[in-house]
Amino acid sequence: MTKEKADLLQGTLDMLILKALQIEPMHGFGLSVRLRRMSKELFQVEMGSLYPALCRIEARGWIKAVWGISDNNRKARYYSLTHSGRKQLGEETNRWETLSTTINSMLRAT
Amino acid sequence: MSRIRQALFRLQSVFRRKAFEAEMSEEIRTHLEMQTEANIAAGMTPNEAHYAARRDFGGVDQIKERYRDERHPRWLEDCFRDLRHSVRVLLRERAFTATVLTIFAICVAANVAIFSVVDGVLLKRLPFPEAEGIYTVYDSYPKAGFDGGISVPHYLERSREITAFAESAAYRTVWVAAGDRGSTQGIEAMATSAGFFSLLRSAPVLGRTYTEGETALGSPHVVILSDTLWRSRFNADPAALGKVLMMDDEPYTVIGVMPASFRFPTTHPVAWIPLVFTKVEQTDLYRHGAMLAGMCVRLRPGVTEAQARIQLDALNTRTLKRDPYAKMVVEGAGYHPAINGLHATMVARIRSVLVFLQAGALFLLLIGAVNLANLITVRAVGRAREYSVRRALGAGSARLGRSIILETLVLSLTGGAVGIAAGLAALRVTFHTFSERLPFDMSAQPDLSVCVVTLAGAMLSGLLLSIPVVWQTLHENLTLSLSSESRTGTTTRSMQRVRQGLIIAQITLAFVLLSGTGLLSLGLFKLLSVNPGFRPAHVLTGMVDLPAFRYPEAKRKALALQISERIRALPGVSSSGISTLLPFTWNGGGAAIVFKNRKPTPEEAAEPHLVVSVAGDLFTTLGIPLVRGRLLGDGDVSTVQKACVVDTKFAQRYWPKGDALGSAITPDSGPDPVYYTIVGIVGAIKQNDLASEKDFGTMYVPYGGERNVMLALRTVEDPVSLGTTLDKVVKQVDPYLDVHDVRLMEARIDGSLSGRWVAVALAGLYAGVALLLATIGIYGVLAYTVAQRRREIGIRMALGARPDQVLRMILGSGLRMLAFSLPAGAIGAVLIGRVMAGFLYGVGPTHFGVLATTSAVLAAAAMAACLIPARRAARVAPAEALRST
Repeated sequence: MTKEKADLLQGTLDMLILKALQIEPMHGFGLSVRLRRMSKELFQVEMGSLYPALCRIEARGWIKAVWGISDNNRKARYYSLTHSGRKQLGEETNRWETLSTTINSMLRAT
Repeated sequence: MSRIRQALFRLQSVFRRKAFEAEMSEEIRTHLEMQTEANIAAGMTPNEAHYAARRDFGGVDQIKERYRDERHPRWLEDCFRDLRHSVRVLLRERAFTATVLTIFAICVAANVAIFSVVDGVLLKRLPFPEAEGIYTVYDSYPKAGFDGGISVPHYLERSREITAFAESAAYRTVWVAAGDRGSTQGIEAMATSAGFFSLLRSAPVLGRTYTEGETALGSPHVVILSDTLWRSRFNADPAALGKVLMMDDEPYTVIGVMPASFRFPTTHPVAWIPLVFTKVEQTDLYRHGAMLAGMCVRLRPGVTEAQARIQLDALNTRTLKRDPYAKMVVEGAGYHPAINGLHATMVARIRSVLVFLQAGALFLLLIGAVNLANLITVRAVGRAREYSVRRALGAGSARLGRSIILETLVLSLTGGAVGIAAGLAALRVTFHTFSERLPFDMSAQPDLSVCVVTLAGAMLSGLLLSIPVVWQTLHENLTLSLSSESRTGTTTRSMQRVRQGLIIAQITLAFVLLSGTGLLSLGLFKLLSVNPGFRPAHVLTGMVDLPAFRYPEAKRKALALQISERIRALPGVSSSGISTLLPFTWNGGGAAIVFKNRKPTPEEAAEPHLVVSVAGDLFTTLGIPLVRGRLLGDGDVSTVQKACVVDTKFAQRYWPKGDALGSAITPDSGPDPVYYTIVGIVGAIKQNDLASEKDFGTMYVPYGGERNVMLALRTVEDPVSLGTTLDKVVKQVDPYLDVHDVRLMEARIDGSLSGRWVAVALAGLYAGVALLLATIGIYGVLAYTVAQRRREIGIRMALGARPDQVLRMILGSGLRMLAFSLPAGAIGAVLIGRVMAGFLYGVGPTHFGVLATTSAVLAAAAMAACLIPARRAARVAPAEALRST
């Protein structure tokens, strides 16, 4: 995998994670389920990507993690969006929209 | 910002590694359990659900590894592991670590301490605002050995007419008796012109400074107190303002108090009073009288020193035209006005000593660095096998290099930190020594930047020191180095040569330092044995102030004679005398001599001669021999017919044929002088510096009632016990008088040499450390060589070599290094001797005795260092050596 491609995919996953956390804090498993639902079962995120991505985003200060108790009384690490995470999500969304519009129009061009 | 946060986040996880690992496992376990539950809810059996969850999740350990990578990069963790390893290794090799740290600490400490002083004294600005604009202006008479003062007419003309000077101020020292009658205390006051404080941009903490009007003749007296005087006389009471301080029995109103940090222009002025010029001082008669200690000016903004100098010279050319003494002072004494930066003037006296000390400290650093390089390479070779094994087991070059560099860095940074701490401790002592001699408050605070630069230097040297080791280790042929320590191997030749080169360099440098110290000590030793021309042993001296308000001039003569008489009557005192200027009490001064019968040549007229007033048996007391004629007696003090005595130097200067007796001379260049007839010639003495060769001769005249009187007495026994008696005797004559500065004559002479003692002591310290380092270096290398050649020596002995042959072989390798370094050191020593010529007294830059002694000392030290490993080699038991791996 070339570096650029990896960056693109990573960036995309980061954005999707931020998006998934936008409504409420969530633990790793819940996040994987939600990501799948959000993509209408088409997108299966690999755990080997999810957890390192969470760690990376946490290091950047976009999300923060706290230990909490899940619905069925289990200790789990909950991730929530920070203020700068929200800002980042807005920026990423804009950038993505610009990019996809541009690429779409280029693909449709004859 | 976010980058820093990321780095911190990662760094934190390195330290919290265990906690992080536990959290990670916990999180993954939770995930798997939740997935399993979800699968069961979807209708799987528990077993199926468990495996499906695992399958979906993927390889747990791989994920953990990726997780960790994300969390903290591997190299960082490896670095920490290497660091821990280095510290462990260094702690294990205690002898090596302690040696290296000590060397590092000594070298760094010496440099930090000396450089902080250099920085504070030579490099920092003066503690006055806009100090770079302040200059000193003075009259210089180089041929007469006179430099520094300025006359009143010159000061007035220059401050009035030179447009380059925006502000100017003058000052002179006055000794006054402060306090009410009966409890006076002699203090050093500075009489300054009104603009003095504003020129220095310094203000009092309390009250005000004096106005121009207060410096006029006859205006009411005012005084500004120093912090010291304010505390001692007024208990630091703010209400001191407006109170009266009696000085010389006249009332001075206190108008201000200066801050404790302000001390200028001498080291410890106690009070400042307005400088008042008398009428006569302003006349041409005093044009070259240097009645002022100094003149400070502040240049107009934008004016350069060179421009100011041009104006000064132009004015001087004009004034010389009306100067009746012009021909005499210019031709005879090389008179010219001079201007110099205030800072440069102030530090001029200690500059050379400081530069010299700093050079010595840098030299020491150089030796230390060479020694460290040597120790570290020796050790690296010892660990070559460890490195080779690590490489053979797959450690990469980068990894290995990094661990070597880290290890050296740990050493150098720790050594640097210890050195800084020791240096700062030493700084407290050294700085005190130097700041005492400065006429202003220099911040003794060690600079943070000095510490930072030192640490950076330590780090850089650590990197530099590790380069040869890294290079050697990485270029080593693996199989060769693995086998070099084994049965068949010998040590690599290139490494051996590098080490020997370093040792040679070290001995050479130590040679230079040792011989430099030798020259300095020899100079001091010669100086100590210089005959001062009199006999200082058993002579006690003290000072008495006879203030004008109490004693008119005529009364003082009788009083002084009475004191001298009473002292002589004390038991154990063989003779006593009075003088206005005892040797080794004061520096400089002098008057030109006028002859009754002839006009002097310009050169003769400009030569300053000390003129000393004496009474009692001064010559006998000091042990100054009479050469011809007679000595001055108490009778000469009272008679109208004035007699005088001159010393041999003086007599030879003006009467080389030996017909001085009977000539009439006077030190008074005024219009109607009193002439003194020479009645005797006495031996010349050293007046204030044993090293001084520039002495124009002294004229002794009968005591004429001068205010400051110095007492001298010679005792049969040790005179120390007489100190308090002396004060009692003087108090018997008049209870208001007191004797101060009571010291043995020998102590005064020793005091004049204190600067030289400091230099010799420090140089000795440097040389001692250098010698020690060189010895350690030689020992280290040879001890290591012997350990390495154990097997070879064992083989030699098994084949029939006798122990003494082995001994000679090892000593021989030590001698070879000496043979290279001694000549090199001798050349360096001769060069350094040339540089130091100014510091040396009576010793040429090339002194064969010193060179020979240095060689002998170094050779002895080197041999001693060789002997231990050589004897160890000779005791090698062949069977044992061959058997060991």
